[in-house]
Amino acid sequence: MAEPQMLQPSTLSEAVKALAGRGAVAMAGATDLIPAMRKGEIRPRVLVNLKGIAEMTGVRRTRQGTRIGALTRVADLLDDPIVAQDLPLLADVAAGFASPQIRNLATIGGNLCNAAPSADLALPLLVVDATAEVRGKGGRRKIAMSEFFRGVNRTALRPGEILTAIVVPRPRRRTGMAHAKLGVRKAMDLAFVGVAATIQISPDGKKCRRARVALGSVAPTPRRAAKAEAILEGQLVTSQLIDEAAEGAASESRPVTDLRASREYRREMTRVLTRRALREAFRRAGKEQP
Amino acid sequence: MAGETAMRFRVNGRDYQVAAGPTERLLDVLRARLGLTGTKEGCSTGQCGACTVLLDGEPGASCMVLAADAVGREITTIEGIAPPGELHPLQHAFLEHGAVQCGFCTPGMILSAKALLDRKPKPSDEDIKRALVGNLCRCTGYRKILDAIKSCAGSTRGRSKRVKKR
Repeated sequence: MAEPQMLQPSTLSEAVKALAGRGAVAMAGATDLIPAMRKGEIRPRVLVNLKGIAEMTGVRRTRQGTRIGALTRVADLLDDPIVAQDLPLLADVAAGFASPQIRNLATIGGNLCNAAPSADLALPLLVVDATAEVRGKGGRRKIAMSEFFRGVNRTALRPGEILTAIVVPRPRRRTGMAHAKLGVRKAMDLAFVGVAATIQISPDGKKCRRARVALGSVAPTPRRAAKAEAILEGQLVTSQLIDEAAEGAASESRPVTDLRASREYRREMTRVLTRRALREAFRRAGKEQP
Repeated sequence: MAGETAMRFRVNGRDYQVAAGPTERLLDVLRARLGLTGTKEGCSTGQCGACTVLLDGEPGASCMVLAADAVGREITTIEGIAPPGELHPLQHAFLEHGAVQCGFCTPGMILSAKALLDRKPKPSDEDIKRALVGNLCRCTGYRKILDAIKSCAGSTRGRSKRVKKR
């Protein structure tokens, strides 16, 4: 294999220029990239190491919401005080991500751009309507998280574009969030099925005003379960309604059989985990101050 | 080899100047260039923890780090946790508790445990298990490993112990 050249830009505009070169590949934590290069699945001519770009680091509040720099390491999501307050679900999911050895290297931007069907961090972002901030030759643009994933290891990023940050809108009132994940081990394992859910309840605490359900590992990409959401929104929340929504999510899943689990098992577990996540989200919503 | 560039690494408190290629991993530099073979190569995909080293005091899989990315960081390997001829309290405890069988996972286990104890000198059993989720032992010796680490709680900040000749 020809050895690639390594470039270490310190600004976004330098990085954009570097990525315009033929065979240029962006690199952050490199925990997905290194094995892919060693297997020959990716053969970059130029590696553009983004880690020196200050604009892509840190978590802060802006007028749009909470801005999480794409270079934020998974380990930093775990104990960031702003994430803990604004999106505790993301910290929860980060705590179950791989292992300390990987969390200290892997970045949130890398996890999203690698776009694995099981991308753990995508689910909490999908259920809060997060937005990806992107920079490329054509300038800046925003992509809704629900439009970001396009296929296995494929995103909506155009060639040469860089994911710079994820923006999470300010937390909504009377909203509960929960997630559920199923794998063989608690750690280090890719999930068979992952589910995240949010429910916003009406002021009287009985109706579902707004629902978001996201599924992982049961389709080519992490995705929203629109049918489940539509079943819930505007309705009186009962355990029967939650069962119907869970059924809806299962019917929307497009799982495959692989060495981890069969298609049928994944679909059934999508139903079970969606029900669990929705019940918990509803319970938590009721505890929020109106 | 073409494409090699000189890089400076700080390993176990010493500075090294090494020529390495752009896709060479930290693991390769440690083992092949510096002869620090205490760090093991297991799965090469970041799942087994045998290659664990400390980067600025935090555990990292050295098979998942490009050498160029480790420049400027404080790297600690198993060779660097106690002065030559002496054992770190964790190493001593692993011997005392029979927490070593084939030994391949041991350097990574000890470094993960050291990072935990440096941050939290009196961890709970759950803390220890969580700190070790990325270190696999295929001789099935987890119980003794947990016991060894627990026995060090609150004591690893002290000086390392001299090895007894056996």
